[in-house]
Amino acid sequence: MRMFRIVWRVFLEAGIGIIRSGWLNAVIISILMSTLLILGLMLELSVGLKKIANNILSSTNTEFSVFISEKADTKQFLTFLDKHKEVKRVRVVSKEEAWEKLTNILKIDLDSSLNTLPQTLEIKVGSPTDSIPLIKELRAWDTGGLIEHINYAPLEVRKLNILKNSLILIGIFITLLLATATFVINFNTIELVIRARKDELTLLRFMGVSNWFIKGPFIVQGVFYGLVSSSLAGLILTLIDSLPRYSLQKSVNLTQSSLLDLVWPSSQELGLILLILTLTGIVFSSGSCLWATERRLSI
Amino acid sequence: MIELYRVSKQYDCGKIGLKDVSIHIPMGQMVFLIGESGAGKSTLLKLLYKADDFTSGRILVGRVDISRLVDYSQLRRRIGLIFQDVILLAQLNVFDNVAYILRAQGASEREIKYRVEGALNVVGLLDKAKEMTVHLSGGERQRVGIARSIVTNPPILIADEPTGNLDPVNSLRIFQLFKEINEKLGMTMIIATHDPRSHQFKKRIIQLDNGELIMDTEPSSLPMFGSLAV
Repeated sequence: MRMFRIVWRVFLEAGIGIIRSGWLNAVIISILMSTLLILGLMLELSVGLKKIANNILSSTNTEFSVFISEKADTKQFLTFLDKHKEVKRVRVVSKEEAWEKLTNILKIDLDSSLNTLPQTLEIKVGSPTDSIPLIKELRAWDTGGLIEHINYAPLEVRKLNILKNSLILIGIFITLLLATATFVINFNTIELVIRARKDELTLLRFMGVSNWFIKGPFIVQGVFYGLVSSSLAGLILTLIDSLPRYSLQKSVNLTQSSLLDLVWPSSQELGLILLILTLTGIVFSSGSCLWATERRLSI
Repeated sequence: MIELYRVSKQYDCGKIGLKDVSIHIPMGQMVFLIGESGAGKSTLLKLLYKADDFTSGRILVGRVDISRLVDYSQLRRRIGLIFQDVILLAQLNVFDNVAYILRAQGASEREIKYRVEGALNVVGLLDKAKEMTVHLSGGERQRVGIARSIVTNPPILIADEPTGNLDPVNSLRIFQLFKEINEKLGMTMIIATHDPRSHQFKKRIIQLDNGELIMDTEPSSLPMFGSLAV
């Protein structure tokens, strides 16, 4: 019971500390929230890009697609490919077939007059090492601009990974920058509170009050900042995540298991991101408060 | 029991705070520590409650060698402290100021009421329990400080120039109060002062000069100066 009363007092003192911090609370919370929001967006983006990469890589390295223009005759391509022994299979996907495939994936019902998809040749080679030389040969052979685009998964994934890594690096840099600012502001706020309560704390110190009763309220204050900031960041992140998704689904009449699910973080993944944000916020904020008390409160 | 064995304190700047001081204070004794400003009175007291470290020697407080302590809170809970400038929390009334330490220690409200009222009764401020401390006189503030330091019933009471800011009448009242606390509650008391009225109480007097112990008189050998009536 005595311990419960001490814990209650620690929370009460933390509340008094928060009230005394005044407008600095808003500064700390808004900066920490921005930091966590950027971290959250970075995690979301990373999850999305990873999903796309995984989807692309689910096809094998021995396959690639050649999108050909309307004026091109598939027979010309088939004749050319016939001469290559490494080509094991060629499948011609017509415009109509491609359109049907797309509308099936998206589960939407659109008029076929809107079909602007090109004809596609799905080429399978014997070994992954055959793909790039054949792609090069095809490009060299195509002097008349018959090929619109060649889609080879590992090349696409490589580009995607470069993009993902660059974005993560930028994200980490911004997060670290804001994190440092949060840490400094948090530290200084707690220092100000310690200075404002110097007499009181000196008194407690000389009366033999335990370390944790003196330091505890500051750490609780840090946990409070972390919780509030991460909750706000989580709320904004959920809105950022849901609103465009909702409007997209509504505008093109997408059903649940749509293409969006292939790139968008699932609710489980979003939950995990929110958990990471909360834990990061609490650890980070209470950590800076603890550090301030260790540095400024010699007990 | 408080024992100092050849205790010396030298500051980083080279100044001597205390030089080879040995004192034995038995339990329940009231001692006046006198001397000029800079004699080493406050230094000696700070060593006792571990606000400062000594350079050499040994200090025992209740048979505990305080140089070996890592957590000072146990030691400080055994000592009530009174300073010249009383630190009172302006946002709290007299009762809550005295109760603050008990609340920090997790005491129940029933226990707090009983102990705070008892302490305020001892210092004669029970009728001012609900008053805000900003409205109190210097003497009353000091008495709140005394009530706060005895409310936890510590075996030792240390006062550093408790009457430094008070007029002669209030100073005598405070000394009289210390005497009563010592006699009624049996607390060991060390009162640092340069107030000559301390001689009137026929208590042990230890005099320091430039960090050295120059006089240690037993109560029986002291003459009675003036009257205690205030």
